[in-house]
Amino acid sequence: MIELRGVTVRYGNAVAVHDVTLRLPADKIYGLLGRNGSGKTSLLGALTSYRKPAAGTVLIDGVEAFENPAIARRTAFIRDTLDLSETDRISCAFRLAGRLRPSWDGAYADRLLDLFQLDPGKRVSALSRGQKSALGVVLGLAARAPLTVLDESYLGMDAVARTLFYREVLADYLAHPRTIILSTHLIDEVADLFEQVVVLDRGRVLLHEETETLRGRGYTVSGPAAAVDAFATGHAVLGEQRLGGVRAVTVDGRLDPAEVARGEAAGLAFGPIGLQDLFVLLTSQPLEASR
Amino acid sequence: MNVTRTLLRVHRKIALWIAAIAVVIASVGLVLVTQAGPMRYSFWLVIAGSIAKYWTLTVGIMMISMHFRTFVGNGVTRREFLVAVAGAGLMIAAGFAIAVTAGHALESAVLGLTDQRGPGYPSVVDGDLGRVFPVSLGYFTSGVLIAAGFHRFRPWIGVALIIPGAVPVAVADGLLGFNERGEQADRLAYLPALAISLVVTAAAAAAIWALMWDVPVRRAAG
Repeated sequence: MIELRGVTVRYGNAVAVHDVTLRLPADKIYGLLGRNGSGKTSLLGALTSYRKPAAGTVLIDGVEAFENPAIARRTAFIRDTLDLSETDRISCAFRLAGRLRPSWDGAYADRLLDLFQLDPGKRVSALSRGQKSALGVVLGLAARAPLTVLDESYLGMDAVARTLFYREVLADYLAHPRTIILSTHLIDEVADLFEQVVVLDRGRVLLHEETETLRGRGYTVSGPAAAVDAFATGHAVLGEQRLGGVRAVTVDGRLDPAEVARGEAAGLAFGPIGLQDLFVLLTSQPLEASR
Repeated sequence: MNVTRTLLRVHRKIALWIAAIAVVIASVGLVLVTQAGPMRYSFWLVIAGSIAKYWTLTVGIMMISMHFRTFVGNGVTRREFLVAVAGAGLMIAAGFAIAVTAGHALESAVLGLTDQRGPGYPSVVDGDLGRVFPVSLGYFTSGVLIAAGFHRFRPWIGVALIIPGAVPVAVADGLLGFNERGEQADRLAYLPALAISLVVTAAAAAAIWALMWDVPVRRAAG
C-alpha cells in the first residue's frame, strides 16, 4: 500500500503539489493524468523519494519511504530524461543495474532490447529520443521492482513501439504482479491498462477512481436545443456545443435509466464519453467547479 | 550489493589505462632524461604525483555529476551513496599513496643500480606515503564538494562555492605537498600539518553530507 499524507512539494515560492493525500493499494496499474505543469512529475518524485516533500509523508507498506534502503531497492522510477550517463553504453547501464538491483532480470532486459531493436553496444548519447524512451522502459520493466513508476515513458516513441510497450507492460504485470504507475498524456491509447486513475490539476488531486467507474461517470446528451436545455437543468454540465437548433452537452454523473427513457421520448440521444474527453473537460474547468 | 565496490569498478578500466600510461611515460622519460646525466629529481613523482592530485579531483567531481543520479536511480539511498563515496575516496587515496611510494622506491632502486641517482634526488624516506594519502584525499574531497555545490544550487552559486570547495586542496597541498625534488613547504611539522589537513577534509566531508543528504535528484539535460 502506498500512502501519501498531506504531501506538498515546493520550488521556492511556487507550490507544485498541494497537500495531496492518496492511498494506492498494491499490485495495481495506475494512470496518473494531468495537464502540463499539474504536478505529476513532482508528485512522482516525492513518491519515489527523488525529492523530499516540503510537508507531509510518503509511506510504503506503512513505513516512511524517504531514504529507506529497503524501499529504495524495491522502487524503480524512470523519468522522461534518463538517469544515465550519456557516454555509457546500454550494456554498461545494464551491468550497473545488475550489480545494484537485487531484482534485476538480465535475460528479460536482453529480450526487451531485441523487442525494441536496441543495440546494447550503443552509447546513450547516440540514441534517438524514441530509443531513449524505449531504453527507459527496458530499465523500468527489467528492474522488476515492486513499485515501478514510468513518467511519460512513451515520449518520442513511434506508434509501433508504444503498442509494444503497452503489451509488454500488461504481459509482464500479469506474470509478475506489482504496482505500476504510468503518467501519460496519451490517455485513450493506454486507458485500457489502468485499473485506477488519479487526475491531478494544479497540484491537487482532482479525482481518484476505478477506471471502470470513471468510464461511466460522464455522458453526452444531444438533440433539439430546447429539450437538451430542459434536460441539462439540474445536471453538472462539463461542456457544450451548438450547431443551429441542435445542442450537445457533456454531463458529469451517472445516467439514470428512467431519465434516459424520458429523454429519448423527447428526442434526445445519449452516448458515452471517452476517458480522454472526460479528462479534458474536467481539467479545463475552474478548479472549484470541477471538484 | 556493495556500493563502494561498484563505484570503484566503474573507474577500474580508466584507472588501469592511466596507470599503464603513467608507467610507460615514466619509464621512457627516465631513459631519456638520464641520457643527460644522473637524475636530480624523481620523474615518477612528476607523473604519478600529478595524477594522484588531478585525477582524484576529477573522480571526486564525477562522483556527484555522473554517478549520484545513476546510483540513486538504481535503488541506492543518498546515505548509502555518500558512505560509498567516502569509502571509495579513502581507498583511492590509499591506492595512490602506495603506488606513488612504490614507484618512487622502484625508480630510486633502478637509478641506484645504474648509478644514475644524482645529488638532490629525493629519498623515499622523506615520507611519500604519509603525504600523498592526505593530499590525494583532499583533492578527492574538494572534487566531491565542488560538484555537490553545483548539484544543490544554481550554477552561479556553484561557481561561487568553488572557492570554499577548494579549501581541502589548499590546506592539504599547502601543508603536506611536495614536489618532484622532494621539496616540502615545511610550514608546520608533519603531525600538526597532517592533523589540520585531515580535520579540514573531514569538515568538507560533513559539508558534503549537509548538501546532499536530502537533495533532489536533478534530471539530466535533454
